[in-house]
Amino acid sequence: MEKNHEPGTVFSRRPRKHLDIMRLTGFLCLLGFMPLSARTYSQEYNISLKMENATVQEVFDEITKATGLDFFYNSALVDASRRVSVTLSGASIEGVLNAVFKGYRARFEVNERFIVLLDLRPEEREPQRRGTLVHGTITDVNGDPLPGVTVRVKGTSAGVASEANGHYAIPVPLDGRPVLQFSFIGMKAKEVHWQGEKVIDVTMEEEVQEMNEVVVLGIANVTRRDMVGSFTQLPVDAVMQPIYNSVDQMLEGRVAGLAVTTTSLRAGAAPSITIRGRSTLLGNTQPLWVVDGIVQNEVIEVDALSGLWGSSSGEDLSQYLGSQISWLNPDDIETITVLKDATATAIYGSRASNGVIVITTRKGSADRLSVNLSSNWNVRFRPTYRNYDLMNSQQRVRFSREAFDAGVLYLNVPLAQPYTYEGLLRLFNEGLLKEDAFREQYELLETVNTDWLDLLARDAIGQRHNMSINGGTAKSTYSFSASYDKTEGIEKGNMNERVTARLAVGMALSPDVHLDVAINGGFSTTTGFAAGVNPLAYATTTSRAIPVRHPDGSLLFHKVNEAYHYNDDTKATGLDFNILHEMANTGARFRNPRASVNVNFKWELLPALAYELAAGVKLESRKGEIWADAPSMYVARRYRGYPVGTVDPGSAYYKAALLPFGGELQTEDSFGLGYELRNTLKFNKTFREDHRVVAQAGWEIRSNLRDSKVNTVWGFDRDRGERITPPAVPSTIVPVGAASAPRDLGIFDELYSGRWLSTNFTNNHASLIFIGSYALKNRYILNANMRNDWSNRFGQNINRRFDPTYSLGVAWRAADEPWLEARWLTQLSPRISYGIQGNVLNSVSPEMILRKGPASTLYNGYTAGIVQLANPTLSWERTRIWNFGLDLGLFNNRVSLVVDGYTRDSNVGISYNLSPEYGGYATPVTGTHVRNTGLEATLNTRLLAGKEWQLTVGANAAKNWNKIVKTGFLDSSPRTTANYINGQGSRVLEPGYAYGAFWAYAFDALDANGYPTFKNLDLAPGAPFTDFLVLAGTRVPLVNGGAHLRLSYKNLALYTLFSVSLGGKEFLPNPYDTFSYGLIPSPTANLPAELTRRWKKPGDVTDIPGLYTGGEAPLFLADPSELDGSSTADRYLMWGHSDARVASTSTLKCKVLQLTWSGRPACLAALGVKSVSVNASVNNLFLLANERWNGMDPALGGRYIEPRSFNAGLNIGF
Amino acid sequence: MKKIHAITALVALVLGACGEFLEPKSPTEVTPATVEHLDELLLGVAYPRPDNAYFNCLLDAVSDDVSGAGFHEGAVNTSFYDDGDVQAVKIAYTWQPDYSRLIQTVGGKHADMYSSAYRFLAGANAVIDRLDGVKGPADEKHLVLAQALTLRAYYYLHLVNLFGVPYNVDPDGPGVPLKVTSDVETRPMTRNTVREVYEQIVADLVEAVRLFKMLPEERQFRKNYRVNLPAAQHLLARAYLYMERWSEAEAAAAGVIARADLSLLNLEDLINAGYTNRRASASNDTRKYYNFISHDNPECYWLSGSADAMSLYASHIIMRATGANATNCAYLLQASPALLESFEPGDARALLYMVSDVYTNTAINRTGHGAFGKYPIATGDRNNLVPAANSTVFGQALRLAEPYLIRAEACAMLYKQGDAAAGAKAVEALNTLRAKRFVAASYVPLTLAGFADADALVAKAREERRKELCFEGLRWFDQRRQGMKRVEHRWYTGPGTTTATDIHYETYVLDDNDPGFTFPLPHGVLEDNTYLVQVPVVGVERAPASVQ
Repeated sequence: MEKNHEPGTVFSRRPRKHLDIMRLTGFLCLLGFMPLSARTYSQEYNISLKMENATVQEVFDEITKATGLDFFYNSALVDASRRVSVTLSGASIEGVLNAVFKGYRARFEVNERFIVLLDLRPEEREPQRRGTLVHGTITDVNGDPLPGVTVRVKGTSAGVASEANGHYAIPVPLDGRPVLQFSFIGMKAKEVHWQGEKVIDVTMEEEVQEMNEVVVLGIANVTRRDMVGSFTQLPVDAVMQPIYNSVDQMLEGRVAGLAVTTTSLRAGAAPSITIRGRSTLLGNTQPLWVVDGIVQNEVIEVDALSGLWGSSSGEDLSQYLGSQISWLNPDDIETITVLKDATATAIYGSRASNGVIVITTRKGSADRLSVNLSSNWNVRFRPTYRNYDLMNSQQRVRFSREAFDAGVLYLNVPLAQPYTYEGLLRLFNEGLLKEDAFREQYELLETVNTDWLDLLARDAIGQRHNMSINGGTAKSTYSFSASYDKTEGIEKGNMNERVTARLAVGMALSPDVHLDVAINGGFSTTTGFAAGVNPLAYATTTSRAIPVRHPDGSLLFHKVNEAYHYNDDTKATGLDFNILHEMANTGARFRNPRASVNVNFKWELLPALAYELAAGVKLESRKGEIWADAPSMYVARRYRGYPVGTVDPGSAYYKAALLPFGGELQTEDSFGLGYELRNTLKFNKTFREDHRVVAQAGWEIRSNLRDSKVNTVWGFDRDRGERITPPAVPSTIVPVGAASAPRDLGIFDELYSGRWLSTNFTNNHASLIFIGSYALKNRYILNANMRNDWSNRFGQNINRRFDPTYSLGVAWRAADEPWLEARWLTQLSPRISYGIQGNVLNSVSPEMILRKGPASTLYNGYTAGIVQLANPTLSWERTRIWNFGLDLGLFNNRVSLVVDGYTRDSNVGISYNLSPEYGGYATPVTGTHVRNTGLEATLNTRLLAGKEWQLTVGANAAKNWNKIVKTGFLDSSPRTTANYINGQGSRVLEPGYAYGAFWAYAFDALDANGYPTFKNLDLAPGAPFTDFLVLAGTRVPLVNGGAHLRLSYKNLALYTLFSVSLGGKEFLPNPYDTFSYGLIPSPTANLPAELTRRWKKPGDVTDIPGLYTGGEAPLFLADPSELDGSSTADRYLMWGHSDARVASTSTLKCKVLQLTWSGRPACLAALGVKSVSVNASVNNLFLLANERWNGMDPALGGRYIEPRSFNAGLNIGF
Repeated sequence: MKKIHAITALVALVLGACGEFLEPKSPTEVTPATVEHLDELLLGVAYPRPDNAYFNCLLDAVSDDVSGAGFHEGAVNTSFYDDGDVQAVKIAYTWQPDYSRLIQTVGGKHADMYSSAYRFLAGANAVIDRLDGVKGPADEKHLVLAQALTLRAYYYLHLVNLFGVPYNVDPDGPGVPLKVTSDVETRPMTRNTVREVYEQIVADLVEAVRLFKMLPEERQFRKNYRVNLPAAQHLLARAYLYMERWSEAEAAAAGVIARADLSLLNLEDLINAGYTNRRASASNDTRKYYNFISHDNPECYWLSGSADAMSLYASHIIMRATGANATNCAYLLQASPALLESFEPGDARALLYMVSDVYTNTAINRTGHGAFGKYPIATGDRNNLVPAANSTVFGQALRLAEPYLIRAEACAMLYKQGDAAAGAKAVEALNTLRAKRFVAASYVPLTLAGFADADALVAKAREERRKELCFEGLRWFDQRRQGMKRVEHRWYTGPGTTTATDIHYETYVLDDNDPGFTFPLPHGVLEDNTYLVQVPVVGVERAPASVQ
């Protein structure tokens, strides 16, 4: 190929065609065919050549082929037709050039695309100095050899590159005090003073926690230097707990100020996360999740559902819906950054008032091809009766007998059946059972001891498998991963299964243009329960005296107090129930496919000006099915009144049945489509060395469409090809008993009154973002951010709403001050920020909103309803945030401490049920001011960083003080006793008190009957609540924190994580909860064993009241809050809400204890295995809490405990 | 530079598209913008429709028009009395001060008449508030506004009579909170005086009448279940009557009476047409029962409310035995003897205004009358008649009979106050009505001379009102304004034998001027709005005055 030899043209350039070929190579390489991998810049190339008698030009072409780099050279300098012979393997560019130009010294530069030959001159015959050859092997901390490391003798330009096996050899002069320099991109440069060794092996560490590290803000990335706000950034490895399949579950105890609460033990359920306490009392307190710059929407929620979805007994759909990032495979995550203060979050506007969690996913790296396989298995142990303080069947039956003998009344007339003491007694009294048989059955009942927990729960197996492929060249990188995981719930029948795949490709289209594309796909299936089935709750609330099977093994049904509306006989007889039968005939399944594409396009227009476009499209759907089959009690109770098929056609029962055949199926079809597009211009220039200005302005639009339909069919038969049988014609239905015949359309009335539900909307947002930062001498940093949002919500007139969120911050990198330079002080940066932030209340409008309703056929006209009343008093919920922070790094950051103090003054909005004169509509109101003050500290230390022993210990703690400063008008309206007992959670009660404060009755003593009595109830009527109630404490823990430790010795690493919560208070579960009106609850229900320790006769010393047996003392006691004494409460519930039942919720949890062995077994090297790691861990190893909680987790209401689990995993790298 | 241009163009494109991008797109939610939206809102949340109007369901259970069934068969199952619905009826029937909480406790329904009435009021207020801001023809706006004002007055008239002291006892006594906008306000919702509430009612109705009259005549009154000119005039007359502003009451009633498109129904015609109100056999033949709450009835101009609500407490059936063997036995509450005895011979209303097939067990040859009968009857599955508790059956009507009665009472009062001419007018109004109510053979016109004095005329007008308007939710209000006279309610506590001597009952008494004549506010309401002050109540529980 001919070069341009014209004088005056210093460099020649190859034709463009060649570039195209190179791009093609780049793509091939994405697909995994690229035979060699490359690193940027000279030392990262690994060139093997074997050319005999080739022209220099041919050698150059070969190099270009191998590296993708074009050659530029001054044609006057080089004779390209000169013939040479070169035989090299694993050489760097320098090495090749030295071979080609033997006897010459080539000076060249390599950038991303070109090799520029700058100079070529004959090697000077320097006076031969006395020297010796030093050699050795360069490895990374894992022991992997590092090829391409530049090794130099300090002060000389001569250098060598290490070979593929990490080996190097360099001549070292004997005179002077030579220092060997080892440098490699991404690694800390290392210097070794040569003291005459022949062999110097070097381990290079990756550059971590460097000052120039990038802080990922999602929308924008800033260097850590320029970061003024408060944040915590964690690599995923630091938090990874293989047992969880979603990253939100792993954050507990790892970030100061971030509290994670597990609210459900179901597989697939999302925990609740709050950052720096609640800033709003309205609705959602979850932080905003941002993945690779794209804001994640909330999961498609299904609201206001009736029927199967909304059936009571704790059946809550949200227990099955994960969080916004449940779709994300944790193995794909690279870093997690939690943004906390106004400066950090301002660029996300008002949505960020709960904090922001930014996630970046793994990109391919310009690195050798690596393949990783990992597999994890875990088992979560089901609870046993040892965990619960519940009665066994003997205790339960005896309790019944004692209660009956004491003359306590029942809530319902006990049903006649031999499985409860009361039922047995009724059979006996009605003469259906002889005394012998009675006694025999009674004794049998005492020994039944059905193990409901064994029947309904299981040791749940979870598994997660992941494969990832990473690689790339200087021009393009790729990363592919696929994962499968399956998590069983500890309740039989609850399961979550997920498959994800992800492909991320990065391409340098030209030196100035970079494109990243990521494609995500996933599919998850969750199965659970429906129709009021709640296995764990059932197991812990059902009498163990009830057998589950007959001696012959067939299911045994007992009677429960359920009745079918159109058949009064069922009121007297109850209906047959068996939980196993019910679980077999009811259920729920959600299938949730998801796909998204993210594109990120960067273009450096000018050296100081860059344009960036981020775009994302996501598609999500959910198909839900919830069913109750024909044999289920749910159907019998609602539509039939007898077990299916047990009555004759034409019989009275048959005629009363709404649905003689089949069951009920409720379906949901949701579809979501969203896109986001952001254009940003970024200006970054340093003026006269000392003045660096970074300014970024962007425009963003987001759109989200949701369309969800919920429907129900009746007469559904799963076993008959999912056919449906029509229900009975309403006019033919003849109720048994007093009920009047069904109205109108019979069963279909339900469909027209809520069972069909359509939610369909498009939410659009447009935002303007500005980020400005100025650094003087790289030490004094000033930062200002601003954002304004517009949306197409009603009543948010685009012309009127300029209501920006903004922040200002300054930071001082004191450690860089020349006068403060100290070896031990790596970092000392005080910073201050201030910001004003709207809140999520932005989503509400002061205007009246109507909802179009169905037509009224009677009136022959359409109807509309009120969604919300107009509220002219509504002001924007605003929070003013001050943050004072200090970053301290000692001894090269081996000890780092971050301390933040903040105050947040919020004019909070609350959803307020207006007084009845407003027609029962709720409205958000503002005007209540809450002040949150907090202190957070994060300490990280690397105590040992030796070659064999390494120890890092970290701890974080956050303390929050909050106080109601003043209350708004509507919120200061008088309260009821119940408000004070429930606390300030939803209604702000007393200015001056903490916002989580709640009150309790003052317990006095048990009286002569064993009934609880209380102090202060005799105060004058109208006494303030705070006089006759006692402040019980605050439900919100004062201090949250965590500590972790990682110790490694050679190939073994131990990791453990603790989380701590201190200072919260809560009422213990009340064993008398189910005794409404002092009456004995259903004989089929189990009761807390605490009740066996109750007061039974005068003289008993106990703190558990006795049963209510009537007499002079009234069950209901009046408190002094109302002048007419009309505020009364059941004294047993009062006792449950008395100071005698308040316990501390402080806990210390050992979240995880994990042991990892990782290494590179030589025996597997032949199979291409480069590294292997094996880990084993225990989660929820122990929980320390106040003993009054009986070993239960106070955070789970004292009724459950997170199951202990074991995990074992294997990770293989190729 | 080309790059810069490209970006500029892109940004401009994005910005330019924003106007439309930020248009609200919800297919279901709107901010009210047109008069049609408000019209839909009116129907959706302000009209007392058969499927949602439960704000008056206790009224016919507390009045002196009902009494407990005076006999129980021996076979009645004791557990019947434990039934929650039966307990709920008892709680209302015995004027328990804490009725709302007690009814809730036993599982009874719709005891909070306060909140349900204010729910409708919020809808009416919302329409009135927004009317100025929406687009639409002036006529449409007048029509919508007139309806909203009429409805608002209707609910306030109802509320102030339920929860306020009677106007003629203390106009400045506690009424109900007056809320005349739907917006959130920063003021406590405290009780206004009864006078203030009535002034609002009158002002709204006067304005509604004015607006209706501005419409073309054919739009002033259509039989489309919407309130209309005669309805507004009727309610105005009723409000004046309750305020004892007699001449204004008469004048307002005259507006309705003068209408040519309304006429009184001749009840004898119904009897002749076969509406015997008594079945020939035990078959479920309901064709014998005339539906008075219907536009087939030429007297009616506004149908509203719900038959289900009206019958919820007033038409419960006593069961004999339980379950599959149950047969109906009697109506738990029945037309009271005092009401039944007030009907003169030949008065067709005694036959047609209440159902009378109580027993199928002919062996016990006794008769009782259900406390219902004007709204449609459904087939009873156990041979008894039950109300057609269907979500499309109206329970109340404004009908022409009441304006005549208002005229009669108002003129009688004016006559008593010395207006000599008014006496004849009162008698004439009564005669016009009575002529259509009696079978011709028994009808004898009243004469002024036949009354001993003005008080006798007033008493007659009121007695006529009671008979004509029985079981329409109005008697209780009349009792309140007509002196709050002592009432006794007997509650039968258990089955006796068939002999009358073995009957167990408790007698509850509402004394003269008993505070129980004003409904205490529901407990939940006091909890939700602690600015409200309860009216005096008789302790926590009203105990029976005697037990037998």
